[in-house]
Amino acid sequence: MADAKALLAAWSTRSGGEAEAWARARPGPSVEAIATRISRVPQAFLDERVSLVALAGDILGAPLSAAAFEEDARVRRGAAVGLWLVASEGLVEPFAPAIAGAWTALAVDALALRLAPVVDPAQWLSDDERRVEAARTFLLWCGFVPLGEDRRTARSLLEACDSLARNRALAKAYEGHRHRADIARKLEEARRKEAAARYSSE
Amino acid sequence: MTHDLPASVPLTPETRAAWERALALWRVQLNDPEIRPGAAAHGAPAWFTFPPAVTVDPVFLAEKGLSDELWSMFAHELGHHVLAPGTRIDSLKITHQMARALAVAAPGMDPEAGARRLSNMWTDLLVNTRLAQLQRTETAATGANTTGLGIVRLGLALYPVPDGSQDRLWWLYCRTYELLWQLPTGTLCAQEPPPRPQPAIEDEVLVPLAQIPERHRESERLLRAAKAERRRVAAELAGATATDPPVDAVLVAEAVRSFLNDPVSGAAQFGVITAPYLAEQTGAGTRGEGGPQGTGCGADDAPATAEELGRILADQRMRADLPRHPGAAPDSTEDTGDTAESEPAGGQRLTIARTLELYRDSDEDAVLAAWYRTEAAAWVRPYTRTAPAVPAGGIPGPVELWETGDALADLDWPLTMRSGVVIPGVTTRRRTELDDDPLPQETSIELDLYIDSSGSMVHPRNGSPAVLAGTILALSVLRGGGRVRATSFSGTGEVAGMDRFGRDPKEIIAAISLFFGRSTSFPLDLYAARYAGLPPVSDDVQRHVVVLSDDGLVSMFGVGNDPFAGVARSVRDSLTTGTLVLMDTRHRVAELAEEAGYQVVYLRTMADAPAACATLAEALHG
Repeated sequence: MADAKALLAAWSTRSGGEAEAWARARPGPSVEAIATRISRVPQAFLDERVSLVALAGDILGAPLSAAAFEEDARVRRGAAVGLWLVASEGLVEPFAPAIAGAWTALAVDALALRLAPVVDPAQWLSDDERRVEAARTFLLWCGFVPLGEDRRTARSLLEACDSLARNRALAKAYEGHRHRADIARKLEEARRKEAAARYSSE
Repeated sequence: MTHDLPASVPLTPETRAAWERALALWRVQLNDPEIRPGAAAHGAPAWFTFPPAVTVDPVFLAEKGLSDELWSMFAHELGHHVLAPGTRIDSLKITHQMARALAVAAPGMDPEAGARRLSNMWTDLLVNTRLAQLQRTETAATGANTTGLGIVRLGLALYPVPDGSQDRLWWLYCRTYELLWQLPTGTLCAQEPPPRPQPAIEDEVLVPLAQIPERHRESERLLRAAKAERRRVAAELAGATATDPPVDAVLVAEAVRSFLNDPVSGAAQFGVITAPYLAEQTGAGTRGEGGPQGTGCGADDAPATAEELGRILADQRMRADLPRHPGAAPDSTEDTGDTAESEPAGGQRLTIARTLELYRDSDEDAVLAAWYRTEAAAWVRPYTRTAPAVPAGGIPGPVELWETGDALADLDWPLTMRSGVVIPGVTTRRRTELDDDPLPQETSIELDLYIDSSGSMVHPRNGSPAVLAGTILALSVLRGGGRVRATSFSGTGEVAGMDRFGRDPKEIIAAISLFFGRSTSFPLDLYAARYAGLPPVSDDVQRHVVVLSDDGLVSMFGVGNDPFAGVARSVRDSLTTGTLVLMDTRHRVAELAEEAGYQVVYLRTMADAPAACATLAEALHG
């Protein structure tokens, strides 16, 4: 399994910057539509025996940066979910508006290299919150603002459910609690010493 | 809540339509709401009470230009009926969970007000989240966005953090709504939370060392140094905040999603995350301002009844340890964590003192009885004694001659007919039966229980080992089918309790937990009168006396009461067992008790009570 930092570094090189992504975003499908489609990903797409390079070639007709990390199961599954979203427009029905375009491969890479290292794609299927995060991430890097939202709202809502930021904040909170526990132990020791120092004035 | 409120007015057709729309959303039926225009000036603009009833002030909404959201306000109040708290007992349990969390995070805080505030916030969060989901489903066809949802519109009018508010808990609350309702950051509260309040500095006025007697000066100097170090570390701990509103808002939102259908269990999680905020306010000597319209619409302030108290305290969810703060490091299970510096002795259940504080509006005797009964419950076993053995027949014995005059039913025809001729008294036979070993039998116990409630005993309000042991004992005897007579005594003439043996646990525990708090004088006159002229004990008639007391029980043996000096010994002759359960570290009573024929069991703390009762059970069983 590849190191999450290496995957995120690869994404950093590939993405071209989040500010630019927001700047080019235009009204797109709703978050619910994408999230619902994610939850319907066929097992065949998630099958580890299917080559990611071949799948991307068939669906996008172009290579994915994520293909370099195909041996990582999370990356493979993340990319497969993204490819399913693209393929589903032909297999199920097109989104309104259609998502196929110049940024589609980047959106698939976003799921594989930006989100999958932080949240296992299995959780996208089992947890509503994580599925919404995957849908919002895909829409942003595909060049869309979700239906009914402006850029500010969409950006704020993606930040609110961003697992990477959440994990960093929790790690900080963990450290705070650990520090507090250390001081609490010191306080107990100080209380014991104070109790031992008490004397009788009789 | 109905004191001095504006009069209720009939429902208009528009109001009724709004009410019916709200009922349809939750798919429930409920009596018509009370409409009280202008009620918001007296408190909340709407509230829910038990038995389920909704009251709303429509003028409040009209003034805010939200008349069309009257149905959402109805739906919110109905959510308290359908979802959280749902029932009055669950409402009390949620408040109890919050009080437990506060007892750990803010031991010095009045649990009632804080617990109610957190309870209202938690139930509102659950209701509003579910309501937004329902309204989103209802409006899916119209494609309305989140801010168009009725409850969100109401929230935007009611909840935003007021300008200049320093209430970090309210900021967290609003941020949680932003996360749950999918609102952009900054909609209900500022991007950044208010700064942490500065903890109040503990000051101590010290006498100059020169005024301390010289022989104590060095000890005093060391003590002051230890105190200063303790204060320094305490200040460091107070500065190491346990609160992080942006992170905690995420954790609360996760708790809401996880416990949407189990408000009582989720309340513990919510309490653990939010109680440190109230502790922070208490530590800084401030109070949370809440939102523009207060902090909730739960208006049911009727005190818990005795039955409700019993149900609350017996609920295992109230007895289990509180969950860890979800923000605490997962690998620090061995550390003392947040709770170590403040966790009350005896775990995370509410102590009797805090339970009384929380239920201060309820009858104190009922609270005490419910608390001791719950504490005793785990140790209650059926106490019985061995009954007189009854011979059991059934083993076939030798064959005997059946003679005329014997019962015809005893005639054994197969044996008789073997001779071929029936000649009564000659060829007739009967089969006899021999006794088998007697079957062991158990029967119930009658226990005469005396409990010392003099000032030297621990008051039941402070966790009395004697009352706990008495409760375990009495309930165990009742469980075995027996009867108990409980008598509380203190000084001369201070005797109360039951006149006769009974099986009503309420009456018995009330007698056990009764407290005079005066001098100690065992009621020997009453004791003598109760056992005067009774026939001696036998296998059928057994009498058991247990006295719970301390070293003051020397009065039972006539010390300071010479005219009755021989009563305890003479009564003992008419008893099967006489046992003294004593908190007497110096064993002052032991010799007197032994002379008079009484067994002694010692008791020191609450934790000793179950073991003492186990010893008593053996003594009573015989």
